[in-house]
Amino acid sequence: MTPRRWLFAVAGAAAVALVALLALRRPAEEAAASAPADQPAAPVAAERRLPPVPRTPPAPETKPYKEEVVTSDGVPIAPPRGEVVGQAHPHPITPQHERIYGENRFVGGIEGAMEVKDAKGMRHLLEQYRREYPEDDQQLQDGYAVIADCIEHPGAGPRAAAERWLDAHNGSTAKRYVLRYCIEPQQQ
Amino acid sequence: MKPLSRPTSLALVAAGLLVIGGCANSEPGTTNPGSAGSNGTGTAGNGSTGSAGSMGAGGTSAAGTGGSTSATGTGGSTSTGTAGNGSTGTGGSSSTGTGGSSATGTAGNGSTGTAGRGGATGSAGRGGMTGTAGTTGMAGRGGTTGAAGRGGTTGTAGTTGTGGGSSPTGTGGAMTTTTPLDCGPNGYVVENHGPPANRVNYIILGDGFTTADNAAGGVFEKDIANSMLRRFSQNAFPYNRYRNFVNICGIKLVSTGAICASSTLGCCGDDSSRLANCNMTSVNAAYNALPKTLTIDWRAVMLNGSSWWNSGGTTMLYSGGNTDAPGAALHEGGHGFHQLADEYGTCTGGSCGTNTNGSGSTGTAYQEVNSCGNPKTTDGKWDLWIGYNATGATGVQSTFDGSRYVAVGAGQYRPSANSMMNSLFCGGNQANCTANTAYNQVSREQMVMSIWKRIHPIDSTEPAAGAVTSPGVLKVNVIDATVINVDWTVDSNPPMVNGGVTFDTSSLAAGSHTIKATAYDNAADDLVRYKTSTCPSSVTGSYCHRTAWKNSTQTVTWTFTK
Repeated sequence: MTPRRWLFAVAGAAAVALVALLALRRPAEEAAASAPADQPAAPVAAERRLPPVPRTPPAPETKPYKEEVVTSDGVPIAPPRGEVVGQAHPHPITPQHERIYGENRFVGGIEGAMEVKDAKGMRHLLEQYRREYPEDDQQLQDGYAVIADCIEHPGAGPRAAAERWLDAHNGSTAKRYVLRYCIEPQQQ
Repeated sequence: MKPLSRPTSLALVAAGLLVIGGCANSEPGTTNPGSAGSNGTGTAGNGSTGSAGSMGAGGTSAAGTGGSTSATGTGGSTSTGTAGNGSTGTGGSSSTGTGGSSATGTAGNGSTGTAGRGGATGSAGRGGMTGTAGTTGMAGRGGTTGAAGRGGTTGTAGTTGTGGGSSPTGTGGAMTTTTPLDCGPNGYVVENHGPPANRVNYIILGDGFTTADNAAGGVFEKDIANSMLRRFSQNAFPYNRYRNFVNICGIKLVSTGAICASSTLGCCGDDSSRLANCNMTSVNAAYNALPKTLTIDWRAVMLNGSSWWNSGGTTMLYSGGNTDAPGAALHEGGHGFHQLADEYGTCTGGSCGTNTNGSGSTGTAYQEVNSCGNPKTTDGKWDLWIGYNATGATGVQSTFDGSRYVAVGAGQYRPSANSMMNSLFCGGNQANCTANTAYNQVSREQMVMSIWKRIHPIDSTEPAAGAVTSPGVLKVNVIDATVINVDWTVDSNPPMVNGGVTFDTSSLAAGSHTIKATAYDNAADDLVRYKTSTCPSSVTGSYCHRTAWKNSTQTVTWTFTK
C-alpha cells in the first residue's frame, strides 16, 4: 500500500468511527432522558397517577441540554427533557412544523371536497398535494385519486382500480373512503 | 416530514414483523354458567357450591338481591335489588338496582341503576336508562384488555358497581357481549366498542419497546393507560361523550433496541424543533400488515422515551414516557386527526394577547377552523360561539389576539384565552390540569364532525329494513343510545320523539304500514351549533369537516301489512 493509499485508509476508518460515535450518542442521551423523575407526588395526585414506569437506566455521562430557541415574549420553549413548570411554548415554530400542518390542510381539504363529492376539487388539491409532498409518507395520494375516479365515473374500471389499491394500502387512512365511494353501496 | 434514511431498519422491520409473537388481543371474560332455579320474592342465600357454585350461576330475585358466585360463575339478576358478582365470570344485571361487578369477566347491567365495573381482563357493564353516576362520573371502565362500559341516558356507569348478596337458586345474570376486536397478532385491545366498519379506529404503534416492555402491565401498556386517563377525563371532552364511537388498538411491535438506535420503526426526535420523526416506510409497512378487517382512521406512533418530541401529522408521533405525554397525544391528535391549528403566536397561554371582542386588525383567513383573520366575522368560523361561556373549561368564547404563529396585533385570532391547542401543560401532574387546558368550543365541534365524517349512527336493524312480515318488535342498534336518539314515525303520523331503540308493532291497526326510525346525535347547542352541513365561505369551496354533520342522522324504513 502506498503512503497515499494508507493515508486514505486511515482517514476512511476515522470517518467510520466518527459516524458510529454519533450514531451511538443519541440513544445514550435519550436513555438518560428516559429515567424516571425522582420527585414525590402530592397525596391526591398519587391516587390518580399510575405507578412510575421503569425505563432504561441513564447513561453515565450525558450532555446537558442548552436552550437554543428564544421567543419574542421571553416565554421559554418546553424543554426537550423534564417537566414544564410555569408557562412554556409547546414547541418552536419551524419550517418543519409549517410543512406538517400544510399537509394536514391538504388532507382536510381533499377529504372535505370528497364529502361533498366534488371530484374536480379533489383533483385540483391533489395535484398540489402531489407536487409539494411527492414522498407521500401517509400513503394517501393514490387513494384520493382512486376515490375521485369512483365519484366521477362509477363503474367496473374504477372499482377494479380501487381493489388493487386496497390490496397494497391496507393501513392507509384513505381506506374507509375507498371502501365507501368505490366498493360498498352508498349509505346516503 | 422526511423519512429518516435508515436502510437497515427496513430489514429489521420486516424481520420484526415476522418474529413478533404472543400478545394476542384478549377478549372479555366468558363464563360457563350453570342453571339454577328461581326465587320469586325473597333474598336467597349464598351458594358457594352447587348450582350457584364455582361454575354455576347466581340467583334471581324479584325484589331481593342477586346471587354471588365464586371463582368462575355468573352473577345473579334481580328486578329491583342489587345484582351479583362473578370473580372471573359475569357480573349480574339488575332492572332497577345496581349492576354487578366482575373481577375478570363481564360486569353486569343496571336498567335504572348503576352499572358494574369490569375486571382486569373483562368488560364493564352498562348503566341504566336513568342510572346513577359512578364514583368519578365517568363511564364504567373496561378491563386492561376488555371493553369499556356505557353510561345511562341520564346517568353514567359506575366505576364501583356494588356486588350482590346471594341466592342459592335462580338464573344467572345477563351478559353483555361485544364482538372481539381483531387488532392483529401483536395487537393489544385498549378500547373495543363495536364493529370496526362503523367505529373510528385509532391504532397506536409502539416503537422502541422491547419484549419486556411489551409484557402485560409493562411500559407500553402503562404509557397507553396513562394517556387514556386524560383522554377520557372531562378535560378532553367530548372524547368521553363519544367514547363508544372509537375503538383503540395498541400494536406491540418488538424492538431490539431503543429509539434513535435500532428500534423497529426507526423513530427518534430533534431537541431543537421538538419534533419526533420515524422511518415512514417502516411505519406504513407495519400498518399495512394489520388485519384487513381493521379500517384504520387514526394513526399514531408512541415512542418509548420521555423526551418532549412530538409531531402532529396525519400519523401523529409522541413520546409516551414524558410527563405531559397525555396532553401531547391530545394536542397532536388535534392537529393530525382534527386538522386544528396551534392557537398561539409568539406568546402562549391565557395571558397571551387580549380578548378583542370582535375588534382588531384583519389578517389572513386560513383553512383551519380554530383560527381566524377577521375578528368581526371570525371568517364565519365561530360567530355562533361568540359570547358563549364554556364554564369549567375554556371560559368565554370570543376573539383573542394571537394565534397560528402570528404575533399579537398582527391579525390572527383564537377562540379562547387558553385551550388544548394552546398551552396544554399540567405542571407535571395530569390530575392538576387546569380547566382552561380543555378543548374550546370550536375545537370540540370540529372533533364531533371528525367522527361523523367517518361513521353513521346505526350499526344494524332487527329485522333488516325494507319489506317485512309480522315483525312484532322493530329495533335499531345504534352506536350508543345515550348519544343517539331515535324518533319513530308510523305512516304519516307525528313522530314519537326519542322513542327508544325498539318499537312494538302490536298496537298498530290492521292494514299496511310504513314505519321509519330516524337515529340522530342528540348533541345540544352547547356542543354543536353549525348543523347546516355547509362550510364558511372563507374556506374555499366546501372543504371542511362541517359537511359531515349530515352523517349524524340516519333513517331506516320498514313496510309491512298487518
